[in-house]
Amino acid sequence: MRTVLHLDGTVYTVEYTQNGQEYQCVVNGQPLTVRLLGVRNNALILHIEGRPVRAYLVHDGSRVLVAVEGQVYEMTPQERQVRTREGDVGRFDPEVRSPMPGKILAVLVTAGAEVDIGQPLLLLEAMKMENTLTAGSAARIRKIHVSPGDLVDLGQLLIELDVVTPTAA
Amino acid sequence: MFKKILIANRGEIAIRVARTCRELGIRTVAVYSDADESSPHLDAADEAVRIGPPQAAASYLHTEALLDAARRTGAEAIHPGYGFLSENPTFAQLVRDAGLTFIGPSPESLAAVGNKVFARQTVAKLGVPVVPAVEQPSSDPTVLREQVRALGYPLLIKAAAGGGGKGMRIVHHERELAEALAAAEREATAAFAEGTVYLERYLERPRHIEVQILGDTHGSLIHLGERECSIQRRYQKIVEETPSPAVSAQLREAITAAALKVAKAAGYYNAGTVEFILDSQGHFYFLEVNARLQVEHPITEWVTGLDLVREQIRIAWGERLGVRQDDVQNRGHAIECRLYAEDPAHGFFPSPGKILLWHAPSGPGVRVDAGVETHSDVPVYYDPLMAKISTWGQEREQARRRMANALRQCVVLGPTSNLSFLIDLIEHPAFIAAETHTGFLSEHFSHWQRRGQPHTLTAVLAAALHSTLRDQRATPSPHAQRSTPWQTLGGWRIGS
Repeated sequence: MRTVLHLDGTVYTVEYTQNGQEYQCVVNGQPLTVRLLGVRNNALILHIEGRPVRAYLVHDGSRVLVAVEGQVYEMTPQERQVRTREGDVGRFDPEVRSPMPGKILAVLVTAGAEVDIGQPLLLLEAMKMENTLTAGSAARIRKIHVSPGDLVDLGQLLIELDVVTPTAA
Repeated sequence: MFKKILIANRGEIAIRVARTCRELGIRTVAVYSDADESSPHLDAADEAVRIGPPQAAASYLHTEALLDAARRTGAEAIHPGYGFLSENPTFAQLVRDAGLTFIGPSPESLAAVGNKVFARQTVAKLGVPVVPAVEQPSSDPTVLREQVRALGYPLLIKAAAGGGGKGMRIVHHERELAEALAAAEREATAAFAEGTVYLERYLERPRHIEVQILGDTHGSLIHLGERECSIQRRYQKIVEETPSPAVSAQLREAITAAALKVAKAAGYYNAGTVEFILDSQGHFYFLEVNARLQVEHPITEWVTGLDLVREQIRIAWGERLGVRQDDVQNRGHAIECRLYAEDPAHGFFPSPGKILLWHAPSGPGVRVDAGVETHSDVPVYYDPLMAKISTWGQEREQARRRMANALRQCVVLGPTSNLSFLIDLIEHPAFIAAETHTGFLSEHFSHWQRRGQPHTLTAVLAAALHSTLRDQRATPSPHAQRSTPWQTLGGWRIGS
């Protein structure tokens, strides 16, 4: 059997054969003997090369979330990965909306300006903290709908963006 | 004793207050906004009353709705928790006017300690040190030089109207002063339309030390020792401990005496905290009074063995303090970590949402005050604190190791949390060595990133084997007689 998982930009291919509780696994070329002793309270109880470990796991849409010893791993199985690619990833979103209710502290861009991916657009005070909203992709600012001091609701339109078409040199 | 108390709060603190009330045989009323309809703090109480829409201003800050809920349910007292209306003198007065008891200090004390002018001037008159400052720097260089002599260098220029670092300058030498003043005034004018600045002694690597106080309405006032809360992000504490490794017996005597002096001057009763800043030479300066139960009160409960909420309720009922200063014997060491739904790798950006899986740690010397559970929500409308984990040890290192183990046992899947950040913090050599100060996170953790490595393989194997289990669910199991993993899968798929 074979499962392909994506985790933080790395692809993990897990191939394995099963004999009762015991699985002979090969993860990206590395052979491992794993025993699956049980599933309790959303946790898989595993012995990996004889070492006992508990991994908590939930599915959330296309994601698989796993917690081990306080570390959280977010994975996407291969077939779902492809579906996601065709869906949202890389699609240009022309609207910046408020992720939470709060108060606009500062507007860091002006209409007409070009911004890069990750560039700070607004400072939003929410949940007792100052939060920076950044550009999800390179864009040109078409219209700014808020000014400093404005109270905004969850999902309220803050900024409209235009796609930046590469200019001919 | 009170027969019924309304808890004007939500989350872990509402649950924590309800627990003590239940112990005391007092019935409780929870209040909730529409965003909290199914939150765990509701069934911790005996009754629950809706007070309004999700926005705090229309619910947990809505005094009329709260007073109305108290009236309708026949509650005799209101416990405000922390945050929201807990330090609001107007609310305390309205509660009193409604013939109810506010479980906290008097409206007069709340007003007195909430006033910043009281803070600096009244406190200084008591002989309690405040950070030395020149409140009105002269434009005449000769006079200015004279004014600054008492402060010494380095000094800090701050905007009077200010905040957020705007108009702030550190000056190391006299020759830099004039230019820095001009620049700070320009910056302050641009940011706040108000250029007034003042000078303050710059404290290098200071620690945040606070003293827990407890007073009754008969004039008795005691302290329960200090807490150190130096580890902060965006001026909010995330790790606290008691006792402070930086406070000697002699310093403790001086700082607790100062705290009691401030509280006495404000006619303070009930539980409160007097906050100080401690410089690297061991000098302390008054900051402010927090006139409420603090988030970090569990660590004081660990070392004193007292239940602070029980004391608050007894005091509000008019009883005398059950403990004298000499009875307070702090034992061992306690540490608290605040578990937030936020992303430490991206500026501690809040990460509200549904909790898909929650598992609280346990063990000797481990206490969890949680406001969440599996399938509960972290609403976007309020502070994203999910739980407080506190540990006790006979000495600091035992408490620290217990904390490290407790954090590793804790599971929170769904919202991004600061759990792995807290683990790295608790295990950091500078924290182990107790070299903490208010700039600790910017010094050691400003470029922190989640490091997955130690358990990546385990996580990948778990996800892979689990997908097999899901696929095999439909096919008959070869071990049908025995209890096998995939027979137990039925109830635990999320969102299916």
